[in-house]
Amino acid sequence: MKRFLWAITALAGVIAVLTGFYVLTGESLKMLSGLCIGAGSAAVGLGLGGLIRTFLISASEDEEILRAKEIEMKDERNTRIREKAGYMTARIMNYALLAFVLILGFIGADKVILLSACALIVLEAVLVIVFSNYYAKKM
Amino acid sequence: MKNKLEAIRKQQGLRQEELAAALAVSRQTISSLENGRYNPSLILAMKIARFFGLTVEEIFIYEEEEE
Repeated sequence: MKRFLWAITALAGVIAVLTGFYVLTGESLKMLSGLCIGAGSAAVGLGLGGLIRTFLISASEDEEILRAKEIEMKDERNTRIREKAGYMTARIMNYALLAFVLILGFIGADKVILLSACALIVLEAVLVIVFSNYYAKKM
Repeated sequence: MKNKLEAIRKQQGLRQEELAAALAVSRQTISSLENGRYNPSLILAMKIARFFGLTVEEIFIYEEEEE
C-alpha cells in the first residue's frame, strides 16, 4: 500500500513537471508553469525517495525506526534540551535585534525599516507578557 | 542529585538500552541520569522507582546543600 502511494506521488510529480514544461507554455502562465515544475519536482523526489526506502527497509524495521524516533521526540531530556536551546537562542536573538536597531539608527536607515525592526522588539516583549500570563495560569 | 540507578540496574542485570526501552526514554537519558548530569522529572523518577519496585528515596538521594 505504502509503495503504491509513493509511486502515485512520484507519477503525479512527473505529470506536474511535464505539464509545467509542455502544456503551460504561454507568457501569462509563466508563474503557474514554474509552480507546477517546482511542486512536481518536489513530489518526484519525495515519491522516489519513499519508494526506494520501502525496498531498502522492511515494514517491521520501519515500525521499529518510527517507535525509536517517537521515543527520541518525547524523551523528557531531549524536550528539556530543546527548551533550553530555544530559550538561549531567544535571549541571544533579543540582543542581536537590539544591536541591529542601533546599527540601523547609526547608518541612517529608512524610517520604515527602523520602525519595523523596533516593532519586532515590541512584539517580542508583548509575546513574553502574553505567554508568561498564559503559563502562569496553566501551571 | 545523586542516585543509585547504575548499581540497581546492574544488580538487576539490565543494560541501559533495556531500561530505556522499558521506561520509554532514550538511552542517553539513562546514561545522563546515571552520571548525575541530569535530574529526572518527578514522573520519570516515579516510573523508575515503580519499575524496580523501590521508593524514589531508595534510588535518588537529595542533599540540602545542592540548592
